Amino acid sequence: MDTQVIIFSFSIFVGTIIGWLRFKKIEPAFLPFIICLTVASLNEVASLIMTTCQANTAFNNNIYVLLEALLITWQFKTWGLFNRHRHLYTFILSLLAISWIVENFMTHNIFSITFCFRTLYSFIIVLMSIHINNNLILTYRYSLLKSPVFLICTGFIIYFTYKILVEAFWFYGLNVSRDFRINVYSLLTWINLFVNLIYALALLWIPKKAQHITLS
Amino acid sequence: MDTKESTTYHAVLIAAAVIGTIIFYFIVSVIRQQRKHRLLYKAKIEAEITTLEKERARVAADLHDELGPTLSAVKFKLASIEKLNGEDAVTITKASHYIDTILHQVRNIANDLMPNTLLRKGPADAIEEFIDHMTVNSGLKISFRPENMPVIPQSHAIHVYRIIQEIIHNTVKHAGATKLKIELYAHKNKFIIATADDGKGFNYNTMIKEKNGLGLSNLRSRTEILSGELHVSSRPGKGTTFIIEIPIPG
Repeated sequence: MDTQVIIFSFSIFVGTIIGWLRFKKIEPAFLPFIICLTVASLNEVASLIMTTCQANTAFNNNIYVLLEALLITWQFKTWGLFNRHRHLYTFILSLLAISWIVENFMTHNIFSITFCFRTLYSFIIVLMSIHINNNLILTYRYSLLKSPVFLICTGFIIYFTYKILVEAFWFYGLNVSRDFRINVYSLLTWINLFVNLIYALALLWIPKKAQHITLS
Repeated sequence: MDTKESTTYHAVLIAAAVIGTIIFYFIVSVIRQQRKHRLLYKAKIEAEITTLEKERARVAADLHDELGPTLSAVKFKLASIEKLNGEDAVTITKASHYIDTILHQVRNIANDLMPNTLLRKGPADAIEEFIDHMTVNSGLKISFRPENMPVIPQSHAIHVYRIIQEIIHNTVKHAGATKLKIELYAHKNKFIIATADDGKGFNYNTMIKEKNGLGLSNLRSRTEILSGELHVSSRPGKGTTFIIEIPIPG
């Protein structure tokens, strides 16, 4: 594995560490996102170990993308995206789970890199992020740059838009050289670094829990 | 990579750069538009509420300074009328009693519009006075603890008073609570208003979205004017907690 790719991928740890260090002081509404960063960090470690042992990383990556898709959808639920359409939440979770099962166990193999599910969930996450950001424009009364939700959704939009682009090239670039595919993928590692830093900033901006009062 | 792949790769890079630029421009324009919208909204709310408060103060002053003395003069004149018989004396006594009632009501209305205590002694005393009045009229048991309250400007004091007035009114009208606790204190350069009741609670997001909570909208607007943050914690059957954090002006 290229050292640059490793360093860029491991930048996810910055957000994960900040998230868990601040977890007790902040609103619990961000728990799914912090768990998602933790799973991503563990996946990076697993991928590094597998690559060092010259083993296939497709298996852990395929499991990771499913967890990522489900956790991010859960995060959107805690932000109130499905408050008016509760069935939509169940529908999206079912769609993601079914498409993952079909691709990994029926049309392809869980030990090979799959593309359709990655493209589908990226597309769904971009749409959900746009919806949340649109709501924030009208309802958020402070600077958007200080809104952790806006920063995280913007990160999702940037990362998953590029992910769709890159996945499409992986999909259609199967007959081209390994160098070509690695060069296209290296685009995503730069975006990954940028977005991981946005996530870290967003976690720093999450407001502390409000003061407490009880009747007794 | 061969020449063809290299050309394709450059095309991919250009496409990625174009997409990146579009996303960047879009995000920057969204942030700028939201900032404009936010400032306009705040200015509008501030203008509306300031006008409302000025109008209330003017009406309260008119009632207190003009109508009050005029009624007192009428009562004085009435008392000086020569009573020719017993029937006259009863009529004058009744009229005098009515004038007393009107005077009392005028004072109450003027005080509701703009409490004198707020202007003379500050928000803590005005709130205490309002709580005494509400406890007698509603039966709600209210505990009020102002601790090391910072000095706040008069422009802030009226909003703090109105916020607490609104919370008490909401608790009496809608919460069905028997107890309400109110605390005012300073904490890390912030002035905190914290309240908790044992009422039936409500769903805050639903209330705001369905635009049923006019009182809640008032709380939000006044908190925004003070550049503060409003935290509401309420669940059906579990009571309601309001925490309002207001930055203390330098």
